[in-house]
Amino acid sequence: MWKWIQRQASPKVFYQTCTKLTPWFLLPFIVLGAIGLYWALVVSPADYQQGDGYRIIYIHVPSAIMSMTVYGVMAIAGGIGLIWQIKMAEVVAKVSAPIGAAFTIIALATGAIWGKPMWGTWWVWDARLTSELILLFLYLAYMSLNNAFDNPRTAAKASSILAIVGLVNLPIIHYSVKWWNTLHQGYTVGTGGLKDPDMGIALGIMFLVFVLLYAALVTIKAKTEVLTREQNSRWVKDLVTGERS
Amino acid sequence: MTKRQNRMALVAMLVLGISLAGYFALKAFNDNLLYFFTPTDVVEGRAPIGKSFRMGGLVESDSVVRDGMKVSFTLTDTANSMQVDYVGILPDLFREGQGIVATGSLSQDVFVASEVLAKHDENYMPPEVADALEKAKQSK
Amino acid sequence: MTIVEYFSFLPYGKYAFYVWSAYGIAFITVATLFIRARSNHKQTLINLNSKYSRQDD
Repeated sequence: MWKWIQRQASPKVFYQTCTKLTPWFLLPFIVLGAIGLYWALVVSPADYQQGDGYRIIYIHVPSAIMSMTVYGVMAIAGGIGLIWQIKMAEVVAKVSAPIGAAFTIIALATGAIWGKPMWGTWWVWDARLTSELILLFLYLAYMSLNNAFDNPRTAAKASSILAIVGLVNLPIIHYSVKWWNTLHQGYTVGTGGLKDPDMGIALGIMFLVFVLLYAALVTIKAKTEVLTREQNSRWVKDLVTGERS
Repeated sequence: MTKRQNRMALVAMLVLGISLAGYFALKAFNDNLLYFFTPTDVVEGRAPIGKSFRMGGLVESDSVVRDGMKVSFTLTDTANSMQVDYVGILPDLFREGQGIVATGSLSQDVFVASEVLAKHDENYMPPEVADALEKAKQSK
Repeated sequence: MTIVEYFSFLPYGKYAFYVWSAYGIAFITVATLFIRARSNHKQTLINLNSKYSRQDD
């Protein structure tokens, strides 16, 4: 088992695995994306209170969940890199950061756009919105710290520690609507908040679409990162010069 | 201890330390993290009376009185309630029975609001389902 | 006429502006992620290629 992991974690095998996996994420992402959008925008019925305005939920909730999940993946991969010195875990952590930051931006922006007509305001400083904004700052801090070092190993160590420290924010975001009075409503997912089956299907598909999107982007971006890190090894040189001819 | 176990212990201590620090920080700032107070908080004197603050609750049924842009209604958390006066535009979701959060201050037992925001709940359903649920509730 | 009213001819009427701009922002962000990932990869290949050819000389 340990041997197998070590083999998978060798840069060359990891690069080949990424190349193989990308289409398996990318194609379902496109197909399910089309189905999900159709279900979200056409099939699912209007809400009794918010009319068609609630349809923002189908991107807001998946992107918000993924903004937290990706952070968790990033911190855990960073931790694995710290403890077991697996370089490919460092790669996964590093390339996850901009994707997670983008998910956070989508969650914040769609939330603001949803808040304006329903709540009557774009933004409030309640516990849920503020902690999600802090998540964005954590991603940005991670990325700039990672870029601040010339040596990728040192960069990975420093930024992984930051990512692990920032983990404390995840339960705060999740439980903020329960622990404190917030303007943001409580949990819809997991409490049967979507009373119509088509609403549930639409949200489920859209969530899957975001997971596939993350997976596809990681496999694409990780390859670039591996090439840069391993540029002095023979197989990278063969691969790169081979692609030219 | 091997080097790897050493690093593992360091990471574990880091996680533990940060969680503890986070826990105590949240405990200390707990009150500041409340976005609004309830009418019960106001009645029992936990709200910063005299200053501007936010009060949240449900709009009581049959309590909304409109006079042009002027609105007055009763805000309740089912245990206590309080009259709210407001002049201005109300959000789309404002209606009787709706959760709202009002910003303003207390003047002689009336909450004078400068802003009213709607707080919607976590349930989404088509109108037919909402009607059916409402009927089921009434027949109970 | 406000911008919200201006876009109310689209599906979802008075919410059209909000719904479509939310989906639009999400689409643009995701598209940017893919475009940047691709261009980064291409740029890396070009940089490495020129580095290797300098070494060979």
